[in-house]
Amino acid sequence: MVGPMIRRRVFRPSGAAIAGALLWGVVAASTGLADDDRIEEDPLPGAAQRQEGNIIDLEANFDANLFEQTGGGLVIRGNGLRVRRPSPTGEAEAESESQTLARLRQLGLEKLDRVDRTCGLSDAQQAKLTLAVESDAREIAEEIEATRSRYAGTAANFAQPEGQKKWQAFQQDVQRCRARLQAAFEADSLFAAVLAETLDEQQRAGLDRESRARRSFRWRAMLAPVLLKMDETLGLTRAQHAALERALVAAEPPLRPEAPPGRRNTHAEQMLVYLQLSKADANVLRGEFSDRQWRALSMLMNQGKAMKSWLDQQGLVEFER
Amino acid sequence: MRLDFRHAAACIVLQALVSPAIAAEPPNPPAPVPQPAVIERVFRQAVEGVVRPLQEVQENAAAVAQMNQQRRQQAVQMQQMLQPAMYGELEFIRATCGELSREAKRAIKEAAAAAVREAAEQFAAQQHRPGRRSVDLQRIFGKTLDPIVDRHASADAVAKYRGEKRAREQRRAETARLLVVSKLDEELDLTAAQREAILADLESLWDAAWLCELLDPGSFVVNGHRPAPDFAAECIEPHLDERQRKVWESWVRVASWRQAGVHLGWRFPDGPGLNGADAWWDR
Repeated sequence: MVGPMIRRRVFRPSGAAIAGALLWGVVAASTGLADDDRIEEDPLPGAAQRQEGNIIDLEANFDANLFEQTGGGLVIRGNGLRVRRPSPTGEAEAESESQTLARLRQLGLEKLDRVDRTCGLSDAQQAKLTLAVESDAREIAEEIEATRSRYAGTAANFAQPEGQKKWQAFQQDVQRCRARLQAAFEADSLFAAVLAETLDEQQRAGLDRESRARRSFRWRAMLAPVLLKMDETLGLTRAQHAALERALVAAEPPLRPEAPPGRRNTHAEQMLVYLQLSKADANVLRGEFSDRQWRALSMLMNQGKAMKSWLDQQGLVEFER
Repeated sequence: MRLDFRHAAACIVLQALVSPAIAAEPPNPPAPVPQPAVIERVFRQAVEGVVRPLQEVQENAAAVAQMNQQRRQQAVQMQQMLQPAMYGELEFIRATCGELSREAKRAIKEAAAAAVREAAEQFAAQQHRPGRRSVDLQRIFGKTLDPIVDRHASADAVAKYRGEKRAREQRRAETARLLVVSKLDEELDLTAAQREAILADLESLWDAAWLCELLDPGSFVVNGHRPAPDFAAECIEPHLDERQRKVWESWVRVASWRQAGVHLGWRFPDGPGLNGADAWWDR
């Protein structure tokens, strides 16, 4: 059988096409500039201009780090200073709704939707809980916006000690806001309080059952690939694997029932498994393994323990109260 | 091939110009006598047709030599990376087979090293081929080590070794199934009953090819999604509700395993492992 022949089509632009494209590019660029005249690249004077690569716009990086990164990850976007200019009309432009509030509201409504699918909420329950979501979202958004506003129009110059200090303070603020975002609608929130009041006994039992099952399943799915890696590098037998699995299932951490959106943080998951293994009874486990295996396992457990504070920032586990 | 063809073509053209009587039949009317300039041009083209391919062959040979050199370097690096897996495999044999003769230990250790060399070479070779395929280290270990263990270990030890290997394979399959359902849960928000039903179907209709899920490192994203495990669609789709089915269909459209899975070809058995060789194998 002859397979289908794949031809690569080559685009050869004619001279007229190139001239047209160039003309279109010029027109489009000038229109773009006209539309975007509130923000522009600020030419950096003198020495600062030579260090352009070291200057970080903190306002723009606040959102990028709060919403696009998880755990302890940090990203640096768009070097160079961007400043807001006053509106040409002189009138204050109405701020569109903050990205923080929109994101929080979305998270809350997704959570509410999940509760509804599990318990089947009545219209009255839906209305009460939607209000609670809105209230929580606004409260947290206000806190985050207050922090964010401190960085409006500011930049940090990495080439100067002052700039480095500024960047460190910025990182701490971002981490704090990220933790607030992760813990939104959890135990201390209005949403959680209203949920506890609003659901009847049967609904509450169903929701608890479902949350517990999801947590346990997430933990099983998290530890299985780590055990598989140990299988390959430590040469585990069936009994040894079972002993480790038993110990880890018994040491299930209070995982957040919902995984953070996007890609999995497998490194954090691996470290969490090692940390939880270190909490197991070593006297029970020790007898199952050869000296060489136990030495390797001890190293892994120590690695997990050393990562404890880093793991707290990753948002996999609910905060201990 | 290219050299022979051009050379032959040039010879035919020259022959046709120099001996028109042979080329044209019947010889009536008389063939025109070629001009010297034409002969020179054709001759130059014929010579170029021979010389240029020779240069190309030399250039290609240099590129091939460079590629081979890179491949050898990659294979050496890879051998280092595979050491923890080799020590793990040897520990597994020691734990399951018990006491072995000195000769058996030596043979098994050598075979394990050979398996690592083979895996490393396969890995390096795959790096230079379009549409990379995976290198299955466990299969290579099995193919190389099983006959040696069979030959040198007692019947009881061989039975235990084989049984433990089967159990390990089952653990791999179970992990792959859990990872499939976990990924579905993250995208589709399954209920506990749906998770259990899909797991049960994956187990009853299990296909060893689905172990490919183990290749997904979790951080690989296509069009904003992790690769959809649509290779097992028959175990998944019957259990989805309408909302989930819509999400599933759009997920498969933008990040099916067929689109994304080709990029996933290798799972490194990384980690510190057993920290070096075990002196027992040399005693």
